[in-house]
Amino acid sequence: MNDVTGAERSPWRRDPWIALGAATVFACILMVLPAPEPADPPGGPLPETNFAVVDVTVFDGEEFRPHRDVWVEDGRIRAAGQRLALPDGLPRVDGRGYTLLPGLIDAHTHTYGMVLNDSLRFGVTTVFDQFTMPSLAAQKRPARERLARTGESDLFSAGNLATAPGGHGTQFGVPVETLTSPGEAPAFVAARKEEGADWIKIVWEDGGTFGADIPTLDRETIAAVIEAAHAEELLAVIHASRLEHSLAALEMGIDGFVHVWGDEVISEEDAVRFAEAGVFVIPTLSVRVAAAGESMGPELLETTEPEYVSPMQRQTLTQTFPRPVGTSEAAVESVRRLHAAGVRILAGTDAPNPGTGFGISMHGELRLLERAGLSAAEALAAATGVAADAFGVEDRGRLARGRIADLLLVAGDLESDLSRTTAIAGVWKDGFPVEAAWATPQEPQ
Amino acid sequence: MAVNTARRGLLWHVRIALLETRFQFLSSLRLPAFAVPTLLFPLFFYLFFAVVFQAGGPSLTAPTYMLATYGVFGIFAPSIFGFGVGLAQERDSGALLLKRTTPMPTFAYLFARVGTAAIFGAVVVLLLFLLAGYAAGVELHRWQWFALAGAILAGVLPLSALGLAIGAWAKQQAAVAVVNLVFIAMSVLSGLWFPISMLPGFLQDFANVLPAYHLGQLALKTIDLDLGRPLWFHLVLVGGQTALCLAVAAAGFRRFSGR
Repeated sequence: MNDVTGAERSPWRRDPWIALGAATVFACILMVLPAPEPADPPGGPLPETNFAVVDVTVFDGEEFRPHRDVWVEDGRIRAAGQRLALPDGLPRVDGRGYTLLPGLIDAHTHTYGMVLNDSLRFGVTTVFDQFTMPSLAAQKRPARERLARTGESDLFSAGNLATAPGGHGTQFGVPVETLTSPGEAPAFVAARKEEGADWIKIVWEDGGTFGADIPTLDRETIAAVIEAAHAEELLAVIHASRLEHSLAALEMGIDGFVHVWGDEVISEEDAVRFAEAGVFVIPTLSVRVAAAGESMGPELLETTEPEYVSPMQRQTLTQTFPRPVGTSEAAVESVRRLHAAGVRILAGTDAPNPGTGFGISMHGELRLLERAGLSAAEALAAATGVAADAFGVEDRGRLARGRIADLLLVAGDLESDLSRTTAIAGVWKDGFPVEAAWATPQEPQ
Repeated sequence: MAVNTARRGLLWHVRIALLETRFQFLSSLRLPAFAVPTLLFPLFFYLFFAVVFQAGGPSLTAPTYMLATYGVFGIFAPSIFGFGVGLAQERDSGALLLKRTTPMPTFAYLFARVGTAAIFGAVVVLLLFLLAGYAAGVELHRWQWFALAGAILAGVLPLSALGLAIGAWAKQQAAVAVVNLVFIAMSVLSGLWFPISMLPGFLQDFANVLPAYHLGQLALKTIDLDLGRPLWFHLVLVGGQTALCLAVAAAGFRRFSGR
């Protein structure tokens, strides 16, 4: 070899080996650098009380935040954020491909029997009940004050509703305290507070929209109940099935509406008045579509594993109203306008009315809210953060430090496909996994 | 001096390129003014801001984030100074002309410059990674350690092209000042010293014209801490900027050769 590089023993023959050796050393060091502790995919038994869900897409009650860790300690959220410094040996659930959200809040149900069990199995960890027996509400109250293994959702309730003798709400065979005049309002509200009502629900229903003639409270009495509730520092919400009544209640200083009316579409100007008043609306589109003969029941049953649906859920989901009432388009359009004007919208189902089921119908309500123009994040906020804020419940509804570890883990990306909320991979209540709820692991798509 | 052209196969090219890299690396190593700050600057920055400042924090986001950005900062200096200053020096001193008279192909010269930057860069990356893993407590999935190292080191190419463009035009004395200015300003404006989100909005938009910004985002993408722009966006822009730098450099060399 007689070119410029010189003799056979020139170091240049070694150069490729040196390069290779250096690259090997480089790779070896990368092989030993610290890696996170292994995390178990959801599907096996879920950890309880103290654990973390790592590298999961979080819906925090307001918006989606990818690649977050959520650290649960003693049944509460200790921290939620990116790349948390987690202690060694803490059980970890691998959240990649999954979305973790606060347990859902159904802001309109009527509770009885085992229904809190059905709700919890579908990730509804808190229920805002809009009329049940005060004794039942009182019986369930201690559970929401403690963090313990449970098979039931927590219950907040209006208890006994404010209606006229023989009015809407008295037809279910449950004894109901009624009132007839404004003068009775302060004592009526004080009695409800004494019973433990978390807020006051008022009924303004003359049956006109479904062809009936029902006794109802007069305007003066309704105004007096609202005033009395505020004097007792309780929220006042109203069932009003006509737009005209809803606008009147708005003038009286009502705090929230537990249905959207079905008779007329609200004008954009009136929607702005709702927004300016700062009220919230729980449209309960699930029952509105069911009343119009367009129940979400069949769709929900079709997309849910049959073994998770209880006989009662199946029964109420497949029931129909005696005769269809109106169409759902007006209600959906009103919600669209209210939302566009900036009115707070809350998700509620009015279960167990015909065509709805406890827990499972919340997943249908989310889809209906999306139909009414809410984004996936806004619909989920209506079922979590916005609902908790509206009713002044401070320790749930958000994935944030100090909140109760009520969690719903679903397979997939809800931002692009909200209907995947039924792909439930796990539910935690007070930091405890809901037992054997979802034995079949749900794989992300 | 007989040159056996028959022996110039692939292996010959590899060997000549590696040999030139060896010499280039040794000469750079023997220039403490280049080697010492290149190696120590990013390490000290990282030690100070990511290890000392962040010790005991509840989240490892900051040390992990800075690992990517100081990594890109770490390869920035060897890449841009090697060509930007070294080339201008060799050209103005006549050393480049001498090299062109040897049978060494031009590509070997370029390879050696890039290779030397990559070796210095790899050393910086390795020391940074060790500091992050064992002093700051950063944990990454195994593939992420490799992906991050790869993403950072791939940045040697666009930044060398930037250095080449400066070295091809600037005079020896001016090159040091120009390269320093570009290096410091671009590091700050690309978010390599502190997160880009801390800069005012119009500067964040401006960062799109800076290759170092895209390299930072590509490195951050491997650890899920980027701003969320798609991969192709950064690849296309940094690719275009590299092509532009090479075109500017080529025009500079034509001017030099024509003199």
